[in-house]
Amino acid sequence: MIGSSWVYAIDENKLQENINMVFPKGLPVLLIKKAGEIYAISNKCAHMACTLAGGTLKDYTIKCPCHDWKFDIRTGEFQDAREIRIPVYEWKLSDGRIFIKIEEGKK
Amino acid sequence: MNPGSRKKALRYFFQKIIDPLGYKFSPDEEMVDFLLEQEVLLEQKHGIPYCPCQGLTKKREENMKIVCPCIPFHREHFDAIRRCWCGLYVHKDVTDPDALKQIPFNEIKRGQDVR
Amino acid sequence: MKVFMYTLSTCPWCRKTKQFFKEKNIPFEFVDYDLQNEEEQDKIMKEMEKLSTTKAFPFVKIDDNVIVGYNPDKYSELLGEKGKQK
Repeated sequence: MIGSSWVYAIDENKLQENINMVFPKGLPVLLIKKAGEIYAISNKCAHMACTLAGGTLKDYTIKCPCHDWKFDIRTGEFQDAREIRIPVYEWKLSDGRIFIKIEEGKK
Repeated sequence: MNPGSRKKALRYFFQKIIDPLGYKFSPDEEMVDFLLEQEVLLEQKHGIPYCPCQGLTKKREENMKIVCPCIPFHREHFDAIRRCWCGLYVHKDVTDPDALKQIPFNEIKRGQDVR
Repeated sequence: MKVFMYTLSTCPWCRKTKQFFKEKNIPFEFVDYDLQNEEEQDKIMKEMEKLSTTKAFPFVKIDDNVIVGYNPDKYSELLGEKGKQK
């Protein structure tokens, strides 16, 4: 069945500036806190599924540690070919807790 | 990991990248198998599946542009010759990869299609 | 006429290029770039980039003419009569 659900990820006060790894329902997600904003993207590189959390963040670009593929944390787009993107997730804050919207039947 | 299963894994990863770019694996299965085998060997040696037909240098920035699939970094070139340099990938509409020529980028005029 | 080429041991088009000259009985020399040490590679890459702005193989020199890529038509053209032999 395809549907979506809000899954708890982390308490807001535990969020660190820049990169946070969370695993709502086992899904590898990166929560990036930057200049008061929060962005939620997949923690897997589109290329060979390397963990992006080990990479470097500069402005709104995260660079994969494996082969330097760069993604926009706002849109998930790969900088060198915009047709390729990593998933971007919706998130919400409720009672100091951050939830991520996860589509069922699709990862 | 044995080379056969790693070849399959690379195929799985790379298919997801080349498809939205308008490319497919070459219909020349023998060539595809040979090239993937070379990439598995290069991966065993360097930890990275580099293009078997381009040369590595000491500069990481340059080497990262020839990690397979390197189409995103050579789009204008490969779109013009309708294949990637090593021929592992061809444009989706290509049925006869042998008819395509291996022409270097500096010999391609901007916007030219070498069909 | 002198035929020289830089090749990669991993590249099927480099193999095809060598095969082309072998079949026509044209002697050639080659250096496999990937099997050289770093210092030698540096030297070779500088030479290649000066002559054709590329890191792509095969890199063939027929006398002073440089052909990058497996291009039997061009090889034949540059070889003249010799290139027509089967």
